[in-house]
Amino acid sequence: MEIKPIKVNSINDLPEAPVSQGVTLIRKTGTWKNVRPVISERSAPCENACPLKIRIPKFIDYLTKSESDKAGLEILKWNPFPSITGRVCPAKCETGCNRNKYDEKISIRELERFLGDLILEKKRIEIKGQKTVKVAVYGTSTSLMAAVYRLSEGGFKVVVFTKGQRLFSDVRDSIPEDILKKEEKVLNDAGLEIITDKAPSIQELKNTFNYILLSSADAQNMNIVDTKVGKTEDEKIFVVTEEQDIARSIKNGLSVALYLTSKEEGKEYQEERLPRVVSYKEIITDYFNHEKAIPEIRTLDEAIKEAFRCFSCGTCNSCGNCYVFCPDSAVKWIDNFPSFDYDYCKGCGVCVNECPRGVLELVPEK
Amino acid sequence: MSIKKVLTGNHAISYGAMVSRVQVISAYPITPQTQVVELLSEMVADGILDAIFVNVESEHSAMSACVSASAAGARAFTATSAQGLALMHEMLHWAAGARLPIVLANINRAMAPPWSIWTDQNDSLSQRDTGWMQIYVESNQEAFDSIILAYKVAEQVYLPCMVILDAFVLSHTSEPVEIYDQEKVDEFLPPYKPAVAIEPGKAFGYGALAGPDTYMEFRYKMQKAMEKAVEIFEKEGKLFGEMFGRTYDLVEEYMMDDADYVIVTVGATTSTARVAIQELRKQGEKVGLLKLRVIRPFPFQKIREALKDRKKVAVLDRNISFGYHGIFYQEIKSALYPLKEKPKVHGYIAGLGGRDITVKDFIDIYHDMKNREEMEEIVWKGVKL
Amino acid sequence: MIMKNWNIPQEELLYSGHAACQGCGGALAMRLALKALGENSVATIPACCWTIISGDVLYHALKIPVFHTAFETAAISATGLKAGLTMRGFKDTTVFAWAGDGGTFDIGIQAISGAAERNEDIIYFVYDNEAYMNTGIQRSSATPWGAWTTTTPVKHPEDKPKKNIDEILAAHKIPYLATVNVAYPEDFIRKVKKAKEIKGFRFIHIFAPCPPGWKMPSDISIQIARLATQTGVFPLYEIENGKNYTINYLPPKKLPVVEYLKLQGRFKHLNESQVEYIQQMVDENLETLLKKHELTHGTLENIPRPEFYK
Repeated sequence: MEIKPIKVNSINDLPEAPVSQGVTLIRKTGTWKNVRPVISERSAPCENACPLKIRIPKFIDYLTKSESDKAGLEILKWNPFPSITGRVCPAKCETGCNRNKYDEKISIRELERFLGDLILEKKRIEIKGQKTVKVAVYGTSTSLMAAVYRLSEGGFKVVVFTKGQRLFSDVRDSIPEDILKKEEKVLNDAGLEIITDKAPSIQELKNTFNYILLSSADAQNMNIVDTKVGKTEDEKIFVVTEEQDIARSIKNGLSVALYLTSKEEGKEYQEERLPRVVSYKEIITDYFNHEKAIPEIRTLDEAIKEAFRCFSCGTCNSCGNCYVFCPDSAVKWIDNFPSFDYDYCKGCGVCVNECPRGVLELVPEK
Repeated sequence: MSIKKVLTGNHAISYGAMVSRVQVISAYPITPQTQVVELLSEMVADGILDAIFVNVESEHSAMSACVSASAAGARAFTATSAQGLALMHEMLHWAAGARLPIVLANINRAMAPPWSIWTDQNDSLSQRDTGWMQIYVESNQEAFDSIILAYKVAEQVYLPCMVILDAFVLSHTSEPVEIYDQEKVDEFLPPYKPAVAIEPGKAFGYGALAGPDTYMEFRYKMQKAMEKAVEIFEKEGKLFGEMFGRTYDLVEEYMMDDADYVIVTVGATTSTARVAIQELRKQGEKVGLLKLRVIRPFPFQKIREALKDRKKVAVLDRNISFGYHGIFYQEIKSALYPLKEKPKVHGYIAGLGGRDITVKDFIDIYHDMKNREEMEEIVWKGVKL
Repeated sequence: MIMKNWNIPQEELLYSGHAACQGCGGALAMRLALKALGENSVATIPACCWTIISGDVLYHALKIPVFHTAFETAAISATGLKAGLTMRGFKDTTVFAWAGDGGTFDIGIQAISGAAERNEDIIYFVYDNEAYMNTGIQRSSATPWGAWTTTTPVKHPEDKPKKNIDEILAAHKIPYLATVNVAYPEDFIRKVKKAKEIKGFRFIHIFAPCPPGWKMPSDISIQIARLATQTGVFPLYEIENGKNYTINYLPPKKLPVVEYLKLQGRFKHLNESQVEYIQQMVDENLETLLKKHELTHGTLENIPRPEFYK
C-alpha cells in the first residue's frame, strides 16, 4: 500500500465531514525507541555440556517440525556417529538439562540414537574439495574413525591401517553389528582405503604420508607425547586420545581433523565457542505444562512427542510468543521465525520479556 | 390521494416522520412530547412504518442513538422538549459537527426550575449555537410539512434540523392537517443517500482528533453549509408549494406592503398576531406582520429587505437571554445594523412559562411601539409588576 | 506456517503506527479482538485512550470503520449503529463498542444499563486499565483498593474496592459476559468468537495493563497481566444468561497477591496489613466465584488447571 502524507494546504484537501483519509502507517513509531529487540541466540546447558557441542535445541526443533532428516543432518554436522554415542555416551547433556528442575529431563541421548539410526540409511560423506594430502590413520578406534570421517569430508586421501582389527574396535561389544556395518559402509563409500595386512613403521609412514594419526595407546607405546589438539614434536604426527567419555573421544578425533583441514586450507584453526548459557531461572515455565519424559524412544511419534518437551533454551523454536504479544504488530512472522519491523517497533520490550527461552535481547538504539 | 385528518401538533409530527420514512426512531418520554413517540411506536408495531424504534433510557441517549444511526447511513428521528433538549446538548453539537441530517421535533417548553410544562422558547434558543438548523412552526399543518422539508434540506447540506412547535397550544390542540399521498412525498423526498457512512468494508475514523491545524476548516465548512441552506430552504420551499400547494420561505410577510410598523413573531403566537393585525388594519393602522420561520440559518438578507424601509419594528420574544435581552430582538437588531437607513426596533418579552399572549396584548404592543420615542430594548408585557 | 504455542488468526486488522504507549495492554487487546471479529465489523469508540490511539482526523489505525462518540455514549452509540446498519440491510455486521473503564463503570453506566436491559444486539468491550488513563491517571470506580492515582495520592490511596461491573451486568441477565486477559490470547479470541455468534447484549471485560499508569516498566506488561490471573486478582470466567457461571481456568498453584502487587509502583506504598487486606478481598471474591461455578456445574473438577493456559 502506498503511504503518502496528507497535505492540508487548502479547504479542498479536507472532506466535508471529519473523516480520515489515510492510515497510521504514515507514523513511523520506530523513532520512539531507545532500545531495540534483536535475536541473540544463546546456548543451552545441554549443548554447552556436550563435548561435541552438538546443537541439541536446533536438532530437536527440526524434529518438532517433522523434519527428521534435517534433524539427523544437524547432528551429523557436529557428531559423525550418533548411532554410537546415542548408545554409549555418558550424556552430560541430560545432567545439565534445565527441564530437570521443572519435571524430567529430555531423553536427549535416546533422541540422538533414534535420529542416528534413522539417518544411517541415507548417510553419505559429502566430500568438499579435493586435496593431494595423504593421511595415514593408524588404528580403528571410534575417535580415529571420527577423524577419518571429517578428513574424508575435507577431501584428504585417507588410508586406514587396521592391524587386523575391525573398524570401531572400541565399541564392538556395545553397538549392534548391523549398525557398525552401516557405519563402515559410509566410510567405504567415501573412498576410504583400508589396509588390513600391513603395519608399517612410523618412519615408513612418514615417507609416504603427509600426516599420521595415532591412537593414544599406540602413541604411549611409542613414547610419543602429545600436546594441544594432539600435536606432537613431529609436525607430521598427531595423537587422537581415547577417553572414557565416547563424546570426548570423538571430539579429539574431530579436533585433529579440523586442525589439519585449517592448516591445509590456510585458515586459522578455530573451535566454535558457544554464547552465554541460559539458566533455569530465565525460562518462563508458565509456558510449559508438566509432562513426563519418554525414557525409551522407539517410534517417530515418540521422538516428536519427547522433542516437544524441550525448553529449547537459547534457540528460537518458533513458539510465536513475540509475535502474539507485540501491541504494535511490529513482530512479523516470516518463514516461521520472528522478523522485527524496526520502523514501527517502539522498543517496549514485551517480546523480550515474554520469550520463554532467552533468545531475544534489548540493545541500545544507536 | 391525500387525506385530511384532525390531528394534534404532536400527531402531526408523527405523521410527518412516518411519511418521511424515517428508519431509526429513538424515544424518551417527556411532557408535552409523549404523543409524538407513542403514535410512532404504534405505527412501527403495526407495520405501517418500517423502522427500528429504540426505547432509550435518557434524552442524551436518544440523540446519541440518532447520531450513530445517521452515521450508519439511516434516516434518524427523535423528539423532545425543554429538560430533554438541554440534556441532549452535548450530542446536539456532535450531530452538527459530524454533519448528520437528523431531524428532531422539539416541543417548546419552559426550563426548570421552577418546573413548568407550558410553552416558552428558551429551551430551543439555548441550542442555537450548536450548528442545528431551526424551524419554528405556527400550525399543525406547518409542523407536518416542516418535518418533510427539514429532511429534504438537511440531507443536502448535511446539517441536522429541529422543527419546533409550542407546547399545548399546538402540541395538544387539534387542527385539520392534510396528509399527502405517500408516493408524492417519496417523489419530493427520495431515500437518504449519505456522502459518508459507517458500514463494513470502508475503513475510516469518523470524528477523530483534529488539531489546531485542521479543526477550523471543518467549522468553516459547517458555516458555509448553513449559508447555503438559506437558498436551499427557499428552493425546496417553492418546490413544496408546487407539489403540495403550500409554499414555505424562511420568513413570511403578512399585510406588509405599505406598513410603517411591523410586528415580528415566531411560533404559534403568529396566529394571534395575525388577528391583531387585521383588527388594527381595520382601524386604519399601517401595520404588518413578519413571521420568522427559519432562524438558523438566519435569513439576514430577507430580514433587511423586509424591514429596511419601516419606521418602527416590535419584536415579540417568548424567551430571554438573562443579562441581555430577548433573543430574536438581539438578532433582528444586529441584522439591521449595517443598513444606512434602519427602523427603530423595540423588544417585547411576553408569554414566558406559557402565559397567554392575547390579541389585546398585540394591540397594546402596537400602540406602545407607535408611541415610544426612544428605542426600548426590553419591555415586559404581562408581568405582574 | 508453524507457530508452536499459538493457533490464532494471522491476519492483522490493526495497523502499526498507532499512538499507544509502549507495552499498552489496550493496544494488544484491540489487535486480538479484531483477529477474532474479522472485517465485517464496525466499532464505536468513546473518549478514552483509544480515541487517540486510533489515529486522528487524517490517519486511521484500523481496517474497520470507527465512529467516534462522546464519553458516556459507547453503549447507545453502538445501539444506534446497529439499528442504522440493520435498516440498511447490513444484518450480519458485528457492531461493537470499545471503551475504557471510566466510560464504562462510571459515566457510561447509564447507557450500558439501558442497552443491556433492552438486550441490544451489540458487543461491549471494556479494556480495563483501572483508572482514567487518557486524562492522566485519575481514579475511576474500577481502580482497585490501595492503588495510587493522581486523585488518590499516596497519603490517601484508593479506599474503595473495585466496582464489580460483571455482577451488575449479570443482574441484567444478558446472554453472555466474559472476562478476558491479554496474557491469555487464545482464551481471549475463543470467547470473542463465541460472543460474535450470540445475539443480544454481550459484554467482554478485558484486563489491560497500563505501564505508565501502574508505574511499571513497559516490558513486564504481559507478565503483570498473567500474574493478575495467577494470583486470583482477575479470574477468567464466563456468565451466561446472568446465572450460569463457568470459571475457565485456575492456576495449578494460586500465587500470593504480593507477587502481583510488588512489581507495580502504584502499590509501592502498601504496608503488610494492607497487602493482607487485599489478599483477603481477593480470596473472598474467588471463593464466591467458585461457589457460583459449583452451583452451575455441580463440581469444581471440570475447571482446567494447566500450567500453560492459553
